[in-house]
Amino acid sequence: MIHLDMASGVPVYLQIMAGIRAERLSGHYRTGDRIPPVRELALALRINPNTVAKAYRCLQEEGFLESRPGGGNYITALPDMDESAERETRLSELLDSLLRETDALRIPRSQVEAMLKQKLQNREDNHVS
Amino acid sequence: MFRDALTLWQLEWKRCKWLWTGVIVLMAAGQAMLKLPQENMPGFLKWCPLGLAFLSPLFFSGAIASILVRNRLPILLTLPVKSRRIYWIYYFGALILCFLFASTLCLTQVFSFVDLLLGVSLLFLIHSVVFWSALLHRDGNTAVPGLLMLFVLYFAAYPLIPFLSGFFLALPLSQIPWESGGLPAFPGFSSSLTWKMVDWYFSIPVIAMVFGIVFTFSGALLWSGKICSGRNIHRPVVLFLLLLLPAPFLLTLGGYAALTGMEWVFHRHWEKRFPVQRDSSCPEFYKNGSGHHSFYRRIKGSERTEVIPEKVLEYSRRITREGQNAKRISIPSSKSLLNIPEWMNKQEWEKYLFSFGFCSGYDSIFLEGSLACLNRKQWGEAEEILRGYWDYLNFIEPQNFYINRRRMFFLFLELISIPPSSLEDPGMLPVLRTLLKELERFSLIPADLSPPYRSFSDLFPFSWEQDKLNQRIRSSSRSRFTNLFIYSALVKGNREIRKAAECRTEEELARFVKTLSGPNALSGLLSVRAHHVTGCYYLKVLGIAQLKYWIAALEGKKAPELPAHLTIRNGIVHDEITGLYFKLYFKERTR
Amino acid sequence: MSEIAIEMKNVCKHYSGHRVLEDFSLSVPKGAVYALLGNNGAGKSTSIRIMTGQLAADSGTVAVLGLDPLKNAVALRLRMGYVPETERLFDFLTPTELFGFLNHFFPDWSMERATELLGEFHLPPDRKIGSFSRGMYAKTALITVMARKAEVVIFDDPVLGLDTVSRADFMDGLIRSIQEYEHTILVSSHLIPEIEGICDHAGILAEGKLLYSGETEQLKARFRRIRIAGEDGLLCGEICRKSIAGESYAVVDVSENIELQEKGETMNLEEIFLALTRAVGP
Repeated sequence: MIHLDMASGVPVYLQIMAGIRAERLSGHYRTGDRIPPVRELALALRINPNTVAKAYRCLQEEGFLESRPGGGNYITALPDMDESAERETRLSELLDSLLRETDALRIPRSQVEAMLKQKLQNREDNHVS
Repeated sequence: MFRDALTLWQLEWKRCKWLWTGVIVLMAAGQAMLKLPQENMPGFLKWCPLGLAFLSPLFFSGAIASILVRNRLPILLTLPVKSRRIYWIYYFGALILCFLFASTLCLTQVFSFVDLLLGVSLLFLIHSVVFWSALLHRDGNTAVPGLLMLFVLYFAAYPLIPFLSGFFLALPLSQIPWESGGLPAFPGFSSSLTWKMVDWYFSIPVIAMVFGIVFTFSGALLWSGKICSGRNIHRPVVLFLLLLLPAPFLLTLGGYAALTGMEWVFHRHWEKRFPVQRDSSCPEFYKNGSGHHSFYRRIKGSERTEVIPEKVLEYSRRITREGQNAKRISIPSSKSLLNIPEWMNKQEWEKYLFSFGFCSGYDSIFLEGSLACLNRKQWGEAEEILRGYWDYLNFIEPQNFYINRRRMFFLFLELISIPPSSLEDPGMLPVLRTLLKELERFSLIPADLSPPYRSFSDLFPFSWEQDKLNQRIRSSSRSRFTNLFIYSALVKGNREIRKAAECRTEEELARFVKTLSGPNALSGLLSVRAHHVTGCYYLKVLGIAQLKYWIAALEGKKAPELPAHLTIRNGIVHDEITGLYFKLYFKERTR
Repeated sequence: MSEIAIEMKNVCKHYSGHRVLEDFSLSVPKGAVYALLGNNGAGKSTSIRIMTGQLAADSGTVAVLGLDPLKNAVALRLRMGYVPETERLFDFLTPTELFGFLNHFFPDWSMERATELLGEFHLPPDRKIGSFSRGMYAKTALITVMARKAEVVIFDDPVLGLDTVSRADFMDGLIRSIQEYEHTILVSSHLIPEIEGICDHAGILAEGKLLYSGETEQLKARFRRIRIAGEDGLLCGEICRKSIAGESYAVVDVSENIELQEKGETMNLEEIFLALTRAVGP
């Protein structure tokens, strides 16, 4: 589900685009899936349909979406390379955001790194067991 | 527009269905109650319908106007309809309802036409004023300011009412080609009541209509210009009232000044073109101390009077004998020379003609005297009286149109009053011959109607007494209006007279008269609007022909040569061109 | 043809000495959804009334779709829809009767669309409007403008007093109408979070002056909340200052203070609104 943050200062259509990309990356949307029509998404998110349409248009221009003759927008097949580049971009964003926060809370970088390693280790262990 | 109106009216009907239905039921119930036996009904119930009819304009006008201005406003302003149109739709809706309800009165009462006119105009005014004042008030009792306004309007229009009444009174008299006389009374009513009736049946309806229209349009302007765009209305309303209220008074003053000015201008113009009647002179013995009444005596056992032919005869002989050389006196032109019979309406004319019980003026004594002698078959005396009358007129100097007119009138009356039985008596010949001679001598010259002596003493009719003031305003404005009509009638009359005087033959004159008079000209001859030219035609063409015929018949000769267009049928002269014929009016009592 | 749907320039209006609108200039592009925000008495209703031709401005020019609302009232009203504050205006009619009434006056009215919408909004066609709840009434009002595809629609506080569900329904209807045909919407409301999502332009009104008018995204990018120490001097571009739980914050217009463009945090529309109006207000 796409969540919008009105206070984030990020334009809504960009948030939508990011949200759809995220859904794609997480596997919720697969290649060839039809994404919700403009109206449905607008109604669900309580936003201006034109904004949704704008987001979809931008995604189309990027090649992320394609429209088919019967109507509707469909996820295109992204080359794996793009997918991994996408993932990388997302990771970078998340880490930037994390680091901003930790800096603001004045947590020392060493502590960050240490805890990150620990958590990754924990996940490995849980995954294995 | 009409469809918009219907849609909006339908909307309002749906909005207050129960209200309108309730009021209709109330009115219908009121009307039904009037038809019920009324003995046991309390008094006020009988007046319910009337009261409702009176209040209905207040109710409808106020209610509908306040619907307009209250919070319904926004929705009407979102419709693609001009705000002016909305105003008219609601205005006429309220007006129609008012009249509809008021008209239910007519189901049970019968109103004369003038009462209806008064009612309609007042209803229209009430509606307009209440609607207007309701527009200005967003809430509260909207009828009260309207009612107060009506009182104010009445007082504002107070001087205008008698002024306008003067106009209406002058209208019938405007048909007279020369100066007017007294007020023609409505049959059966006294003079003062006549004034009041003209006020209420003519002037007030007109003024009410005009005020009503002014308020209607003021409301429209206020609505579409100010109220609908939320602008302040106080200034325009105050301005409007400040302009409106003094307006009738100023109109009266201005109108009066304008009329007087026009009258003065016309009089000056006519004075230059034609001589105003100057003072005249006549033999001294014309100035009879006791007036013409001394020639009459009361008929035994009756209120009426009859002429004393002996006295008339004696007077006529005196005129003929002494008139030429008698000591002369001067008569101001405003008086006795214009001593034509006092103004009468048609009924009184007939009385005058057929019963001779009405005495006025010197003309009548000669007429009645001669006819009395004719009735007694005293031919010579009758002829002497006739000659006396001609001399009576001839010895007045200078001669003018009005004297000529008296001659014509007299001749005419004399002619038509000849008792038919006397036409079989050869003794009548001298009378007929004298008449014929005078007819042949008669001419329309001096031809011109001139403006009568005009006194401007009645120009400023102020009086501190209320009723007297109204009276003075009325009569003064009436005479101002009448004078204007008189001047225009003078122009017309003079033109016709001059054209008639140019006619050389009877046939020309007949043709000319045809263009003037219609088929009913004969009745017109007897009316107070007797036309100079038609009268002259009657005398010169029909009268002379008829006299010649009678004279020839009495002399035992054959019928005389008549102009081609005249024929004799049953002893009466007919004119083929105009369709008129000679007519004797006097009906003998024994037949 | 101009791209501006509603334009008001230097409009002034005062009621008996009290200035309601002062040098008010507003510009709404075609196709925009414009939120007119302001506290009670700021002049929202007055400006809307001037726009719709119910009130005459004392000075300045007003043009809606290029037409003067007073002089070309009829031509404008054919193309403009106006939903006044929820007053019960047609209580005595049923929706069907109301639509018939409007059908007479508006040539563009589509009865089929209106009936469809009645169904979509689940409104009873033959019950008197007086018996509708507020939410139902608001949706009926929405139908009156949707069924005739008005080019400009002006709502004066449409969700006032509506419960949550009705509000949601109304917003849904609004969203649907935006998607259905292109038109310009101007909404005035107190409930900023509700309309924040839907509007792409906003105007913030305080004390008769329009403090900001333009795209919401630009607005949000322009103001940031920055934490400061209490004794710090006035920052360049500072709008106002407030304390939250002991901490001092300054709201800054970063278009005037470029250095702070990356600092602090962005705010949502409501917070920006409060900051701007509190700075001006008493």
